[in-house]
Amino acid sequence: MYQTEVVVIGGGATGAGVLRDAAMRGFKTLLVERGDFGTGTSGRYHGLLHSGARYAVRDPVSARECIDENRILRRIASAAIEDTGGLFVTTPDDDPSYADKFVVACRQAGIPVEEISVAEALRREPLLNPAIMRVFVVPDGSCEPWALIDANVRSAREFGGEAWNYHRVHGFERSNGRLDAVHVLDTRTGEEKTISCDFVINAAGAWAGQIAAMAGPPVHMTAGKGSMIVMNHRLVNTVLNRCHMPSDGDILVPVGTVCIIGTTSINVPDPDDYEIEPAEIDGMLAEGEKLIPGFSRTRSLRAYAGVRPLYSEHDVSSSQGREVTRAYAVLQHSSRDGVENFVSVVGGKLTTYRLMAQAGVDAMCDDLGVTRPCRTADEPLPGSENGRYDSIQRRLATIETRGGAENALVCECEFVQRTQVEHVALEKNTHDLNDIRRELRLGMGPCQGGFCTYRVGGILHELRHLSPEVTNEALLRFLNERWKGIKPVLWGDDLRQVQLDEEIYVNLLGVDRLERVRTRAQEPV
Amino acid sequence: MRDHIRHCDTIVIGSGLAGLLAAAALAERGARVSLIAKGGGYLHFTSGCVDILGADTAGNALDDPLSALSALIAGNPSHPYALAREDALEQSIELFRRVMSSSDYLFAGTLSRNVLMPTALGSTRVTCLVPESMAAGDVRDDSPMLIVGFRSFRDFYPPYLAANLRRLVPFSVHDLYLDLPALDGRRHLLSMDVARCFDDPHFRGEVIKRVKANLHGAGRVGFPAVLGLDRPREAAAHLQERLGLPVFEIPTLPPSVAGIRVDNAFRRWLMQRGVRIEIGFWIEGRIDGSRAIEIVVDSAGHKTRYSADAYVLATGGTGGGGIKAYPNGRLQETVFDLPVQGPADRTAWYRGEFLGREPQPISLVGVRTNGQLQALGADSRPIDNVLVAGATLPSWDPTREKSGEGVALATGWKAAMGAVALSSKLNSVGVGK
Repeated sequence: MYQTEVVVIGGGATGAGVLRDAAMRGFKTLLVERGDFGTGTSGRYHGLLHSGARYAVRDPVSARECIDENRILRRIASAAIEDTGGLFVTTPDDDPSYADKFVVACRQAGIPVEEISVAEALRREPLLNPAIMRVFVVPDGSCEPWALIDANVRSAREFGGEAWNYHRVHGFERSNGRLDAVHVLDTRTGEEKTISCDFVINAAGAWAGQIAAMAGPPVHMTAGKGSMIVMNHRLVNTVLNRCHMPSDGDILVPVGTVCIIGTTSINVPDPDDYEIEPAEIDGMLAEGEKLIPGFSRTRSLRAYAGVRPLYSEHDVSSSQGREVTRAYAVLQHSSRDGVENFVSVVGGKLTTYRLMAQAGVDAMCDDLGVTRPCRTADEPLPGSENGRYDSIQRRLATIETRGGAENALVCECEFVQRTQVEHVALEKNTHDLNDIRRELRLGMGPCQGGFCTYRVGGILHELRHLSPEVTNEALLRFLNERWKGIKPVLWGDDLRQVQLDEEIYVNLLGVDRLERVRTRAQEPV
Repeated sequence: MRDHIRHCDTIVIGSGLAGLLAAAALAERGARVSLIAKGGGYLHFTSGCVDILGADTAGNALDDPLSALSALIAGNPSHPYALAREDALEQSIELFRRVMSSSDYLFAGTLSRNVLMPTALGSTRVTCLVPESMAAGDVRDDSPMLIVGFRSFRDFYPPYLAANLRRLVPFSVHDLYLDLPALDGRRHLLSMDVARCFDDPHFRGEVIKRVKANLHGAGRVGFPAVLGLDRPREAAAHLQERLGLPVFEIPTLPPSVAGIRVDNAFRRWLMQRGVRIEIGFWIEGRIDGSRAIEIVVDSAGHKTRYSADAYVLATGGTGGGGIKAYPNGRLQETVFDLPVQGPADRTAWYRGEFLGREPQPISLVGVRTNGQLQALGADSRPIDNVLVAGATLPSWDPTREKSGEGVALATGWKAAMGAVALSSKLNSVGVGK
């Protein structure tokens, strides 16, 4: 039996934010996450730090939350945020009357907006469609979700918080309208654990309905699938948005060495079971052409999808996802459902994760009858104390100054060195290449793991004294996970890359014969 | 800008094994040959061995490739081997051996017996002919192994290799890392860098000294395939003599030193015979009716037009760049825009799991030909003077059949013979076999 004051369920941005917030307010807090941190919606988003401009016309509450949090995050999470700025452009395909409404709405929401000439926009972003008619500058940015989540977890640990990844909640112990304990399964060891606690905060995002159902209260979540395509090049240095009512394929975000176009919006019945449709891919490529002529002919790397945690007090599964507010909601189940120590934080978006966390912990304090002020907006996260962005250029600078075998590049695409892989594997106590990838961007560049997977297999086998079977399984799992994302965009150079990867792993390394144990009598060769 | 026009007997398009062999076969018969390609060819990504036919459709290893080949030809008449026949394979292998030995690079093995070689992962791969420097690695021999790697070389991991191999073989496998000052000063070693070190006898002396002190009773010593780039026989002989044990190489991640040796041997041989080699340019071909009339090479600063009696198309498949795949399902042959056989829907190109046993449909696409390897045009009628070889041909999967080099060589030979037959000059003076 484990004992804590507060259990937070969900290791996305919101959950990690709640963990940090509660720990900073002096609560003994434990977060449980069924996978690795940031493997739900937070790790499957486009990486846009919203200025709020996208929502200014349709959803002014959301817009105002976004700009406030945008300012705070630039202050406290600089290592994870690149100040790219954002442009809203009116293309010939957009309703020209939207722009004026847009400017008024931005000003009303407190979002700084400035119109620049088309010539100036083309000077900043030379690949932009020269036929655009109007351009507005807003303070959008680009955000690395895993770096942000990791920093929140690390900060929480400094304040005594704990976080368990790979722990799945499968039930609660309840008595007299209270949750007394949470039952979790350690999915890596198979161990069952019971955590007794005073309070539970449900921050499970699109899965919050499933968690709430186990606890009792009905919470109706809708999973709004959004798909994105990672392009092989950083085609733009500024976030590009179409200046129109939010729609599909109208955002292009530079992230590290690549850029990401998004999104689509299709409600799905199960947040764990969805596929990317070919029509979504074709649609986004066609929309991309309107922002960047020639877009659909540049190389794409992979596609992925996440599920937005859409919440409404009424069932919204039949409506289109874009019409549901992106504002968040805090459900105080004490007054709402008669469960006195349970709060759900639902809806919202990554940009407002900190605010959602604050509101969730405020609600808990209210239920507990205590007053402890939130400090998350004031203290910078670990790694962000100097106010600098942790860019790939800085990685390159480090590589240039460090020689030796231990600093050899393991992943050339993302400048990952051997020492970094070893450090993360030990710190995270993992031999899962995906766990390492999320920290280091390993295997996320053009070759999609073609070269680094074998190298990391060799390194982890030695470092963690793994059996060959476990190493082989980790290696093949990673290649297949990469493969899932490549499959929707397999043509052109991506297809060539996959054929090279097949050549390497099947023909050169012989993964197809790894289990062919030779006995002389059975098989002569 | 003025166009330049050049004429030769045959133009070989593509610099992989099929194109190189075709150019060699033509040059041997006195043809004026140009070899023109967009890129450096696939040899830099391969094992450097000659796979002939290593696995049946269930993935089982085949012991005798020649007899398996007869069965394959009988059962699968659209397979490139069925078009080229055994005779072309045997002739092409003879020429291959001649070209390799002219660079003092010898291959061990015969076409009637496959060998089972260790991989850098510690698995095994079935192949047929291997460079002498790899021959002692056959895992059917029960001599214990010592696997040696270099700590600063990121593309070879002896402990992981040995741990996997131990599960598969009955003999003992030890592993050893060497920390060599000559390598440690460098940050990002490629196989090519290490191979160049092995061309130096002093470096080899240092390796020998350290390996000798850690032999663990091994009967043979395996290294990554980096034992010399320019003088591999000298390097292997030196190591073998001083260690007193057979030494063998194991192919690892690209760039493949063993593949590059094959590439270099071919280029040397071709250039000595006056074959013009031009690499690095986009090529566009023109077809008029049932004949190709010229190709236009987009070289630096100007376009050069070439015409020839025959064209060997050996540009590779979807992996090599001979066939380009588009999101709308279009499969485009990149030089002549010939029709490509394969699904016209991108969702049908891949199915099931990655790296699985089944060939992926996209691996089987290609330019259809008649039995003489003459490309079939839009109306399924042959383009008389375009002969297709290697991975541009449909209906085979080198990765799963373990047949890449064999098909490239056999069809390269067959295409070259077709080109010889088409050349007015060669026929009139009666040159040829």
